[in-house]
Amino acid sequence: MQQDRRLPAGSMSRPPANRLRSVARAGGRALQHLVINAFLLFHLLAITCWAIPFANPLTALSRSAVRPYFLWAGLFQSWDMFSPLPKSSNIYVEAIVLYEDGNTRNWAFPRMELLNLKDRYFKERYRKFVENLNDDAHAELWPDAARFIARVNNNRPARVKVVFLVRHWSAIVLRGDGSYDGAPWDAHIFYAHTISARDLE
Amino acid sequence: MRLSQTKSDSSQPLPEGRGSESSFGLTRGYRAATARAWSGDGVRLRSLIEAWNGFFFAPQAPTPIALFRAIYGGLVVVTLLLLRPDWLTWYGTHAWVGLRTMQQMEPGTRLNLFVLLPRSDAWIEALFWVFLCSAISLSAGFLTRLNSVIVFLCLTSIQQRNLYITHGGDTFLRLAGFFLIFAPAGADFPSIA
Repeated sequence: MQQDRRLPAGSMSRPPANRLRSVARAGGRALQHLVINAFLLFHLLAITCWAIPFANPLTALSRSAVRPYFLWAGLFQSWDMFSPLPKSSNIYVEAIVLYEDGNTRNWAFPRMELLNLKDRYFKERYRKFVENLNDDAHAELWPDAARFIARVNNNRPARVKVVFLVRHWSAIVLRGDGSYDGAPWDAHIFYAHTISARDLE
Repeated sequence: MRLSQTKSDSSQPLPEGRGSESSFGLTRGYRAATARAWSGDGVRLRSLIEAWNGFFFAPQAPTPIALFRAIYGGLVVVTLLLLRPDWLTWYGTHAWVGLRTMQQMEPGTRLNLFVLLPRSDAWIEALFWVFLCSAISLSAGFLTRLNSVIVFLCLTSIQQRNLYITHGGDTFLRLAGFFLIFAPAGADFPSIA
């Protein structure tokens, strides 16, 4: 009777195993809550620090701290589309394929402005790729691209000898009346790759 | 009288109205302001926690997230179908950018199934077919949790395999895919399981 008085109301009829189970369940829920909150807080703060467009020592420090995890998980992002310097020229890239017999062939990447609507959707990736290929900061892409072009064009009796990557550009010029116009096109070879037999395998 | 006890603490309950204000105006005013400030902070913190818990933990109708899941899955399917003619062009063993070149240009340990797969176009094609089936299943709401994990893994892998052809839309799909894994997106409309 004395023991009964010490028990909270409602628990008298419950066997001890059930009580233990409900306490464990409540503890599990609290732990789950804690883990979820930690996950949410970490990701909210980390993504904010990563994506915030201000450069200061604190954000730089937090970015370097979360960088390995973000790279691993694929949570990195950047939103610097048109800034700080919008593009001031129209550019496209072509290739000149030189064969061992001295013949040449011009090979062009798909250009969005020359494609119909359906093809633009299918070939959109080329626009992005050429944008990066054209960038001198991505020069490590050039040998792979040259090898790919050599393989695509290796369908003549003579083997492909050299692939030249050619950049064509036209500056966007501001006219006196405030409108913009394209300057005449210019071109130059920015990379030449000698193709070996192994490159064509 | 304890040190912490003030005169007003020890006083009898005060009658309501002007009399009480005029007698103990200064002490009571200060105490009331302090109490309000503390209680205000408490309320603010409590309401912040309540708002947080309400936003992240309160039971909600699963329809919006299920609808999002269906649209998300559909967009992944469309992305894959648009890429279909160039699966091997961009991601094959003789792609525009080699796997090794990509790893040199973008170093670091990354979730990338291409690193684990045997170097064969057949395996890469198989990965894409699994990815496509999984995206369709995710859109339909079939084995949602499992398929959201597969879709995220495959999507991250193809983007890590060639980061030089990805645009903002791809980044959105990748990030949304990560958080979709943890969402109760398998319930309700439109779902077949």
